[in-house]
Amino acid sequence: MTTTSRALVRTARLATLALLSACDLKVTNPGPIQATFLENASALTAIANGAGRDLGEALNFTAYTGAAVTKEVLPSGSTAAFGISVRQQLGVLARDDGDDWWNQAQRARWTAESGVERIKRVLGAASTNSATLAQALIWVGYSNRHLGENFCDGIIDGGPKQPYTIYLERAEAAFTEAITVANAASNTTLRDAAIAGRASVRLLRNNLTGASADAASISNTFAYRMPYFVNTVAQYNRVYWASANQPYRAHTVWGTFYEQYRRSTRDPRVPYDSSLTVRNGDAAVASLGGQVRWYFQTKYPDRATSINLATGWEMRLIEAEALLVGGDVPGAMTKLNGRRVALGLTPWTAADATEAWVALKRERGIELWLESRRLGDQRRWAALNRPGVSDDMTGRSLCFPIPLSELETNPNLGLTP
Amino acid sequence: MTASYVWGRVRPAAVFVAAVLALSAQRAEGQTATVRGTVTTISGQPVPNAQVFVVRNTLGTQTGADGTYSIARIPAGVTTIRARAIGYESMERTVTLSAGQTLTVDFSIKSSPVSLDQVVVTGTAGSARKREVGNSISQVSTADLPEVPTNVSNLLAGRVAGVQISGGTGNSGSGSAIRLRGATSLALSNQPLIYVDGVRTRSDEYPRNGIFQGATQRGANSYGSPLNDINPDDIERIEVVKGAAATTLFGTDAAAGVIQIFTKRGSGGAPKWTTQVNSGFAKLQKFGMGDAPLLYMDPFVRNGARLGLQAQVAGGTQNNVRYLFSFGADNTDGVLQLDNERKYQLRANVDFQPLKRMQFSWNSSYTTNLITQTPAGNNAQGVTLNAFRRDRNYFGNANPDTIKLVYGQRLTSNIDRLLMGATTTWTPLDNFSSRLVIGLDRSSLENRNVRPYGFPGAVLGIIQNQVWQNKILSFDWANNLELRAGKDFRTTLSAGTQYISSRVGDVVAYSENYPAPTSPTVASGSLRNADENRLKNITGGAFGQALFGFKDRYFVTVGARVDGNSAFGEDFGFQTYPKASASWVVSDEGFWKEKFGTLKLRAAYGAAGRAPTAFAAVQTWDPVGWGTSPAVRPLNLGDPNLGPERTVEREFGLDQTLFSGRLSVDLTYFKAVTSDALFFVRNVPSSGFLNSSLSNAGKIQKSGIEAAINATLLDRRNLAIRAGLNVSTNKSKVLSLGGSPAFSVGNFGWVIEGQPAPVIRGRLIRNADELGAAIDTTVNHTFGPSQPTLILSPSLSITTWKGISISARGEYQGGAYIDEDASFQALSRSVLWPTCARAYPALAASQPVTPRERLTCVPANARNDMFIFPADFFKIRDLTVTVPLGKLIPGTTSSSFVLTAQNFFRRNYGMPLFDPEMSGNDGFNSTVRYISEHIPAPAMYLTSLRISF
Repeated sequence: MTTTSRALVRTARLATLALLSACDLKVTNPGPIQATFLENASALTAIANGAGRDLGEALNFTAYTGAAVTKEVLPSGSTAAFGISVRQQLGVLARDDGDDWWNQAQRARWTAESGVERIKRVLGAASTNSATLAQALIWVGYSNRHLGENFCDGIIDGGPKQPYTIYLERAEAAFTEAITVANAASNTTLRDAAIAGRASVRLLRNNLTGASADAASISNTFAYRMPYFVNTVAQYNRVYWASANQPYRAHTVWGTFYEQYRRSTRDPRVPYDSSLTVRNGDAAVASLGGQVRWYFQTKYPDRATSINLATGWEMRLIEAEALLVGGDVPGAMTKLNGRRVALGLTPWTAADATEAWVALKRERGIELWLESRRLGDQRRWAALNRPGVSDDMTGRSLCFPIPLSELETNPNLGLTP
Repeated sequence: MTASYVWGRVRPAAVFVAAVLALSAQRAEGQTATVRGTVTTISGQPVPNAQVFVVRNTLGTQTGADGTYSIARIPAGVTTIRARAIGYESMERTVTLSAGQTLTVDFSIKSSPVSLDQVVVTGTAGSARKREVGNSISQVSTADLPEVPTNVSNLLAGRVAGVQISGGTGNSGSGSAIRLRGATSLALSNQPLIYVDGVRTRSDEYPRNGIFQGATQRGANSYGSPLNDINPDDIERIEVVKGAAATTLFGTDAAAGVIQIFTKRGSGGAPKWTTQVNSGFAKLQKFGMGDAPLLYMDPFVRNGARLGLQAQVAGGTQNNVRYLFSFGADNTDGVLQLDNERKYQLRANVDFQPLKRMQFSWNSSYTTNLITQTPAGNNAQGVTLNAFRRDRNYFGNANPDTIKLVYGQRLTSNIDRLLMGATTTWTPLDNFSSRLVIGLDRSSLENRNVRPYGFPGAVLGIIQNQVWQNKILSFDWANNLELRAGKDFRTTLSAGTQYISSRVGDVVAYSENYPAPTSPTVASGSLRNADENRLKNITGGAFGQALFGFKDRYFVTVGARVDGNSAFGEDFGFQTYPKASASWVVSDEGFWKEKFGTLKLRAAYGAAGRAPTAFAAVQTWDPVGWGTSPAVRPLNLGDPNLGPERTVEREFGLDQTLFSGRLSVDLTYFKAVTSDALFFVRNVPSSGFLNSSLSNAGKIQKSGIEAAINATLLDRRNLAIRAGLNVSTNKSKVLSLGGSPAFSVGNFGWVIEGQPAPVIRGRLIRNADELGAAIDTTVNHTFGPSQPTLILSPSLSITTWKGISISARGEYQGGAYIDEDASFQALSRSVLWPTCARAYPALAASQPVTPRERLTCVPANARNDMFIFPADFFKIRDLTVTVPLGKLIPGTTSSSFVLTAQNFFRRNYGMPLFDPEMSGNDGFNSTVRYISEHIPAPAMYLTSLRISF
């Protein structure tokens, strides 16, 4: 063997060894959780909680934007991440202006519905009395109600467009199953949350008898709330955060019905603060003539204030509406004034059904203020030609349309740019 | 622990060190001589930093600023001395030396920007002469730079055809994105790989100093570049390797190109000191219009002073040890009033021969950089946003003193960068060499972000501390065997293996609500939060290459690279990337007439890949928590069949010199097709996964022409005029989306079949400037590409009496479009904006306005998709006057004085405000840039006194 050959052979051996040592490229990186790790009973609580958090975030978005569109508050200038876009300030919800609202609402539904499937798959027969399953079903119900109240069209899992009522059907089915599972789990809180949720969905489906029956079983003091937390901005109560001087000041109560109503009644359900040293919103609102006074809502006084999903007092209003539709104006007025009497406020009066409807619409506005319920109410009353006007919604949107994010990706919708 | 135990542990190392020292102490004894002289151009101008060395010997040196050199201890006898410098033809002189003689040997070398015998590094084991290489490789020699380089990014801007440097902001420490031949990938990093002295280093940006969750923009929203940690005064030359055809052997991740930086090295002889004192200032140039040339930033900016000192000592000992040590210190104030950058840099490069046939090189550098920034960008608590928006800002008040309340926020970033490389070249045989490079690049960063007690919008205070680190460990082993068959045939076989391990991660601590006014730590806050990220990525591969040469004018190279990457899907394993190239030195043919100069034709084909990111292949859920309870949500849909994207490139070109080297042309046509292109494909939101998922979903193409033309128009003793022009074009196109729908990549960038990749899409105002016309708009109009399609870089250098030179360099970029979001944000908030100065009184008086004015100046009409403008501009990159002072300063061998003005002139073609090169809140890897509430990078006015002794 020549010197050259020997040198080459030695080098080749070393090269081979080096190559082999470099072949192990497997890496295990910490961080995200692989889907397969979730097929585990101990992970199911996190699944159900994830659905709750997703709904909390979705509710955040529709609550603060929907409030401006439905005149629960007025926009005070900010247009970007924590603000109200120019068109939304004018009351227009457009398809190229609504990705975040739709995306989060749909994720909340999907996370809850897929969570229910996973819980049933992992627990098998043991799921029938599982409080975790009951909780997940309740999130399915409320996330579908949220979609059904706020969005114009129904889409399920990338499927074709359907009427928005598909969400309400799914919500009622989920609440009904949740009642069964919660009863089996002996969890009265979850049972009542499901019953109250089903009452509100039945009202939306115009099943007034069913809605009234469910509502009747819920006490005045019951409340089921979406919690918010100070841990991360995404978990803050966005109505508070976007309208606070932190620094966005995107909402103001100035100029709304509630401004004068609060001044004259001191109704604690619609509180705001008009004595702040920062006097204006963060920018100018052309539709309102420029810079507007910043009256800060204080229903949500901090980042972690929860938002009501269902309360006993809302149930009384459901009963009142059922009575009103049935023609029992006095009965309806008694029901809708129940909370006002409890608060020491002057009851609404009505000389006829139309006035009673105005009172009911106004009282629901006050009771459910800033809870992401107003768009659903306005659309329902408009669709059913309920008489009386509380807030003039002429020219304003009554629901969020399917946005471009869905239109451009869902093959069943047929829109490509 | 006993002494014997300790000795036992250290003995092998001590023995090794002793052996190395003993071996290195061996030196040739006998009769020697000294050669000294001067290297000048044909017109008599000194050539600094030229290499002068004894052929077939390790003795050599570099010329000083005055072009002089000296080589001692050359064995007596017939000796050939060679002088070479980048941009010049090399020259040899053979002399006969007698013992004890000191002989003067001067060189007068001819300018030749396209020298075919210039040596370049191609990613294989050994260097190659340019005549052998079938693809385009551009070189920048710092010796040729007239200006005072402020950082490496600025040094490259407008200097090399096909290289685009952009995306910085006016904040101190802001780096720039680099694109070689535009973007290669629509989903992965497009930053080229960066090698320093053969060591793989970090090329992606440093994390910005922002908040890790929620209002992430609470900072300066600018990004630092690791490239700027390298002291430009340490650099000898930079090689820019563009395109997959050239970067195949660099392996995975090289598809976006490679930048190789070679630092200066010591040379034989006595220590040679070089010092440099830099001073000057930065000044914000006009980026507004009318009565708001600085868009109301006047009370918040200043001229930022700069003072820097550089010192280098280089030399060699008699036993073949060569060294270079350098130190740099820079203290630069930014134009924003809190901005400052204090940078200290050390370098030690040592070369020696531990064994007769072994060369060992050690490179190490350390940089510490403390950057202080002013909060800026699209940040409600930043100075720029609140100044731009005047009384519609988040204070509701345009009073500068009120806006300056944001100065309470303290933003500091402390970068520590250690770069080490050890290169051993073993040449056991005359025709065989083996080279091993072991490298470590450790970059660490501490971002500290403090809002004090009483800060507006966070009255109880907020603090965050991020400790981030990236460690890249690389092994690169390459072997070369040269075989000859007869006089005409030569073959160089190369093979090698590489292993690169990168670990990147950070720990973030956050808290808010201090109990009282205090100088806080994270422990001061009552509400605390934390975050941690860790990511490891390994690439391993091997290459083989054969270069065949015939008659030293026909060359064919074939090779392949096999690579694996830890992020590939399980089924993909190792990937193979082939390459082939050919070159023909036509001018060496017998039929070629000398008056035609030199000509090389070349063609190259090659493939390179980019690996998808970690976790991309699997379906994952995000552990998001809910209050204090565990919670997960869908994160990544995953694709088990995910693989790397492959870019295949074809390149054809020529290198020609004419008129005795006075005119040179380097012309290249390239066409690159990326198949299995990785796209972030949007998922259907109603299916639960909101994040886009990586998918090998399509095919994209880019093609263009690059030309570098340099001419010596006049070359006389007291007047030399040189001119240059770099031209590059780049046209991209999405060939296929694999059935996926068109999708957005953000900032109005879209990926649509048949359109540029990506294309800017928005609302076109068809009759924008027709006074009184009815509004006529088209929504979803495709404006054009986001990357420039034409870049022109002219340069001119005039050398006059006493060697005083004036040089200028400009750059035009055209063809791209950009979203200028800052104007939309202001106008939609009813800010009185300078673009509407004419319209406001007209609107108030119900007089006619243009459709653009009606749409943008009436706040209720403003939409964010109608602020898309051409990003065309021309800038003067630098204007420099160099005055050689010779030995005017006593005790020096030479000195010079330099005056430079950089980026002091800009003209936009289409966009009324801002600088089209600036960026928004996004980093270097944003597929599409946009403009947010930043100021542009300022002009620099600098002086430098360079002294050698």
